[in-house]
Amino acid sequence: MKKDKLHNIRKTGFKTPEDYFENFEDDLLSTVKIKAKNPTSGFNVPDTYFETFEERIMQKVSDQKDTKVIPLFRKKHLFYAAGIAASILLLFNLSIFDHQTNWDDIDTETAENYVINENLGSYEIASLLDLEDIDETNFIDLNIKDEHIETYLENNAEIETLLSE
Amino acid sequence: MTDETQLVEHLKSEKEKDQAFRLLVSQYKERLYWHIRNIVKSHDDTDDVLQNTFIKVYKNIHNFKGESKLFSWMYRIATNESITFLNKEAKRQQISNGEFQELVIKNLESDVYFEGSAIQLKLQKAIATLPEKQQLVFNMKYFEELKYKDMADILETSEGALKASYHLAVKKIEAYLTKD
Repeated sequence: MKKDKLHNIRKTGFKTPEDYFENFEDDLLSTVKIKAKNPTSGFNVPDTYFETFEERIMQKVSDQKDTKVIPLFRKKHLFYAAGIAASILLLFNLSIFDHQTNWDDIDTETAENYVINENLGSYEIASLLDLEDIDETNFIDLNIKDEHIETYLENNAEIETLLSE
Repeated sequence: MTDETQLVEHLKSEKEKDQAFRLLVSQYKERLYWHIRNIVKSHDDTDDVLQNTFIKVYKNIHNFKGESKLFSWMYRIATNESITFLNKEAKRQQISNGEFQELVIKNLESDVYFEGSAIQLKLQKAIATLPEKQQLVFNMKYFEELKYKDMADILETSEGALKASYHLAVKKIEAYLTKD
């Protein structure tokens, strides 16, 4: 083919990015200008910083290797703890602890002693009573016999008082 | 087998890991130091970030797949660590990243490890006015003299984009330095 002959290939085929030469000069010039004013960044390091760096980093790495993290709850320990918790729970469910105190079992003296010694206030006692307990009728004996009333009136009432009422 | 692949192999083996790591540190400590220093500015902060970078390299070497060069991988970790550090510090002090940068530059004036000539300070102030990516590109090209190809590998972007960023950065800095 005619086209393949060397003298027909005039171009290398290499390309450059767009604006490459424009920016190249421009950027280089700007860089040189800034560098002329600022040969270095101005940052310094303490003496022997780099000489001692390896030692420090190796120490730090080995420190991290030595301090192994121990999980708070290892599976094995968790199983032990779960076992103990389950057996305690079981104990409570067994009949030996299933002994409920009944009000009827407490004799009056014990109850009295408790009230006296525990220094219960009227509020505490009141909180134990519901409305039915403190109904008026609970405190009044309505079955009073006539003769009792007569005796009472004979002994206590005076005619003037009755008249004035 | 190239030196780098052999080094990576040693770093991944339990037996030779520490020795290989020491070699890696001695080869890269200065380059990575200056790369971090240009981003975070203060020596003490650079020291912290550099140590964290190497510790991360040590811990994560088994994740290094060799898709990029070890050098680019480490630079990438150092860059990320530096940026994370700056963001964290700004958040801790409850100020914006821009305000934090201003503070960092202001602190340079009293930094014993900064030579402190007026023009060098002005250059740092000029860099601080650039967006984050342009700052990175400018520092890597201007101070560290890295190749665009390597920079593209580190920052995972195209060479064209980096050249455009450098062009913008260098123009802005030139304008800043000559404005008065």
